[in-house]
Amino acid sequence: MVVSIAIHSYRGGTGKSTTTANLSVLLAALGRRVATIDLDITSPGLHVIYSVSPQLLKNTLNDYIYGKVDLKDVVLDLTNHLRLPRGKLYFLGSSMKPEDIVKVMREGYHEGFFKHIALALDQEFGVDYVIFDTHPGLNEDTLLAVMSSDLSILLMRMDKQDITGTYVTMQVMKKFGKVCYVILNMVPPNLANAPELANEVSKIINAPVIGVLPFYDEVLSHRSKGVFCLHHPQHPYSTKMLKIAKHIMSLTASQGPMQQATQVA
Amino acid sequence: MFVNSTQGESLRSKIRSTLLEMQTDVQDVDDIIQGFERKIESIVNRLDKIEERLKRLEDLLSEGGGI
Repeated sequence: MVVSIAIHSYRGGTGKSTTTANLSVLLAALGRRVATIDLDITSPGLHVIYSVSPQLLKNTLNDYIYGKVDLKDVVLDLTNHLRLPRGKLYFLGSSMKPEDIVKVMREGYHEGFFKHIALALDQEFGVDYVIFDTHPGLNEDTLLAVMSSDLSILLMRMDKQDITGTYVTMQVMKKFGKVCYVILNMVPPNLANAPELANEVSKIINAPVIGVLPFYDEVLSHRSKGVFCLHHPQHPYSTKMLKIAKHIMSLTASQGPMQQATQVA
Repeated sequence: MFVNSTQGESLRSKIRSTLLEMQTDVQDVDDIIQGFERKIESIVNRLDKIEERLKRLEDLLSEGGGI
């Protein structure tokens, strides 16, 4: 049974796409069948990290939403493209054409879309995980994706603006009885070593912290030229991401697809 | 077609109404975050002090030619 995961954040620039790409690759490397969907429709960029050229990205999620193509025409199998040793990695990219972006933004998604696509990917491609790389903030369409997912992961930087926004986002999630997990990203290296950091953040945000990723110059210097973990598997960032991937696997294995209730509290 | 429609929009409506009815007390949020910031500040200060002590210890060891 497929498990859907939304990677979300209150603010942009928190590393959602980088985290999504690395996490997806690591789950695949752990033998899972993963589909990654670029839902950051206003500024899609996951295809860049996956080194998917415009020629390869012939059909997009936008075409599927408007019924122009079948699901199989949108799904790219990146397993060989990224030379993954195990598992499967599928990718559904968003259109970069301004006219397509504006159209989806104006009309919005059908609320059943997120559950539909996860089930369709399960049926047609036998995926274990569907990972949504969402658009940041509290807009309705993004919240629909988050609320429709089995597992939600919020990325947060140790920045006052981001902490405040994440706190507010978590208040919204609470209203829906939605359990979220937090990953602290780009944490100043001295602070990342503090053993009590995760606990303090967990207390204020009222959600479990499942990973603390320090800021690494090497990740920044990589400049989205491929998936970092594949290029630098021994780097501390990769080992920490692997730990998070395993943690997610254990969370989803013990609970199964949660299909969390989205009732207003 | 998976674009927004007016039928069966229960979750979307719930999201909209929940957001509109939240009445977030911005001052309260700010106070909570300020308190958290102070905690983080004290963690950073404590780590800085530990680092300082380690540095001093290293200097002493190097002056004394090691253990």
